[in-house]
Amino acid sequence: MISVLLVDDDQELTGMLSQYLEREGFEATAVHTGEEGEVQALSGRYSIVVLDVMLPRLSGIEVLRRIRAVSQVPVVLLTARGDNIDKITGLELGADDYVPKPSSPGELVARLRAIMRRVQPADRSTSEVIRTGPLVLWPGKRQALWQGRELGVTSTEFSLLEELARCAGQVVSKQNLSLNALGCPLTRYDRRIDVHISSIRHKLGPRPDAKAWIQSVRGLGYLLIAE
Amino acid sequence: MMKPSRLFWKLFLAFWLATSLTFLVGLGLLMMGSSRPGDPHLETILAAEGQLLRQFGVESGRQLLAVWEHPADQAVGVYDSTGQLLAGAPVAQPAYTRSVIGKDGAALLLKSTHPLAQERDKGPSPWTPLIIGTVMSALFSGFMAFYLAWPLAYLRRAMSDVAQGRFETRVKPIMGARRDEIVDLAEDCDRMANQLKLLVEAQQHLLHDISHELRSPLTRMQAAIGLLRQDPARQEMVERIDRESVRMDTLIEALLTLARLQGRPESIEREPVDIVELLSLIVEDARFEAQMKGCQVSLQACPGFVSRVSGELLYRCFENVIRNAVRHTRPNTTVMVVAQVNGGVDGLTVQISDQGPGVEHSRLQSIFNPFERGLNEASAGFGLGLAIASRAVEIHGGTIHARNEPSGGLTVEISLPRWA
Repeated sequence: MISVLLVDDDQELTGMLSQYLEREGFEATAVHTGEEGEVQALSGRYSIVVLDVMLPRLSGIEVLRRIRAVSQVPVVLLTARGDNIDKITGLELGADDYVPKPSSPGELVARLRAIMRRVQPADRSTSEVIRTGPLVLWPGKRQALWQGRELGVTSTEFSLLEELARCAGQVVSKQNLSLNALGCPLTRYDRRIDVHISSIRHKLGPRPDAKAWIQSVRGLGYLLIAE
Repeated sequence: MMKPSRLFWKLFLAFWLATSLTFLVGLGLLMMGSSRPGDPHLETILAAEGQLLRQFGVESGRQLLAVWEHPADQAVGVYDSTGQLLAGAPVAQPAYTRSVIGKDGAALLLKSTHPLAQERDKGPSPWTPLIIGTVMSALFSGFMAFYLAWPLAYLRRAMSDVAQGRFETRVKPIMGARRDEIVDLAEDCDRMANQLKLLVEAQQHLLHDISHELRSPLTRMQAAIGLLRQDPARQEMVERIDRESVRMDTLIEALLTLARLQGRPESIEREPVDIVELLSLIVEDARFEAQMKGCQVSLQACPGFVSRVSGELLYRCFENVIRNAVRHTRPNTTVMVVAQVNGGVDGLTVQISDQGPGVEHSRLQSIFNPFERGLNEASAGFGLGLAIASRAVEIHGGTIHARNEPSGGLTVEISLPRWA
């Protein structure tokens, strides 16, 4: 059973969403303030957190920042439709995905499932290892080593890195990245891939020749330089 | 450096003309009086002498020259054709000589030690002061025109910035230490830009809040629809969708009321209304609601207060405040509504007091802003009631204040002037 933490100040909404999620086979718990959300998200009892950006007092973005300071638990943001700043800031701060408000609970469940598929790969053996250059990935354990050190990436970032590492040295199209790593097709004006890639680049740092390890190929997609 | 404007040229030409004319007139007066102040003019004497010699003869000419009080260095003499001095003083070196035919037909010579004005040696050319004066006045006019015109160019640029939505533009600092009406204008311009900025920000904030408020019922509707799809047997979700749509409708109506109240006081329709009667109607309705909590609503009012107001807007105003009080008062307590005529300014003061938790001191003002809600009242309302009440009171020229009572509870005091 996947346990979901809902953080939203709208109690009627979380009530209905909990019912919906439970029927879909999730275990849902709702809290209504940012402070409580932070405490609960860091308790380790939840496999995924659904966080509303518009929370009174402590905003969802701030809660996300505090969660990411210590934990890589998957976080899905609920953002107001059309509020691009919240979206981009959220993704930059390490949110795994966002669901616009209002949207159907079915949409939310689809996003949650896509993230959980990445986090808990059922069919992969835990012994599979991907090596390219200074990068070592264990997709089964969702563990990444970079230049011999543990690489702190969110589950979405891990999935993107995994896709790029499997085809290291080749261009991977954004559409494929979106389908395989985010679990949904690319939509128009979708900046999610770019924001996540920029975050991974930041974590990998520059190459000795000052170029980035992940190159963007305009109009085609992204490429992880193979050594 | 700014391009000189039309205004600059107008001011420049006006100043220049004015100063040049003044200068020219002054110069003219000076030149006319400058020849020999106090002396009859030499030219006049010579002309008169010539006239006398022709008409009356040498004797008359002699008399004129005898009475002429001439300066020591000037002399005029009349000679005959043989060079014999007939009248006046001897002239050794004539600078001016003119032959005249006397009355008796003799040829006479009129000699003067000094030439006529036109023929005299010219001192400094009369053009020199003219040119100096004109140039000086041009410089002065240019400076004055520039001094007046350049701040206006900056002001114009600031205004066009504001028109294009760049409200952070400021003109006052460019003016430096200058102090005059133009700087006052610049200050007003800056103030206007700042006000507009605040206003636009407030509007954007409001729009953001409105979209959020409209989204919440929509999101709940979506959730209810999702649940209904999941299990078509859950008919209570239809009720829920219905409730949310009613809620959206209420919100939109409240927003439209608020928008109507943003207008000017002249824009509302007024009719004579007894406000005390209005209050008793609202209290009657509120009692029903209060009974469910075991609460009372008591009304202490003066006999009547008729004023020309918008009955509908004031109804909404008092209804919002009184229902708010009923909502927040503790169970089994009384909400007091006290209305009394304020003799001093001929107005009505209404106090609505509840026995609830009150409001934090810092929020006593802001509770009248749209969408301002207490932390635990997310589902209680939209936070527009007090905003509407406050605007409705303001548009009637009244005041609204909230204060915490020492004994606990919140009192909202509304003062309305009598509008004849």
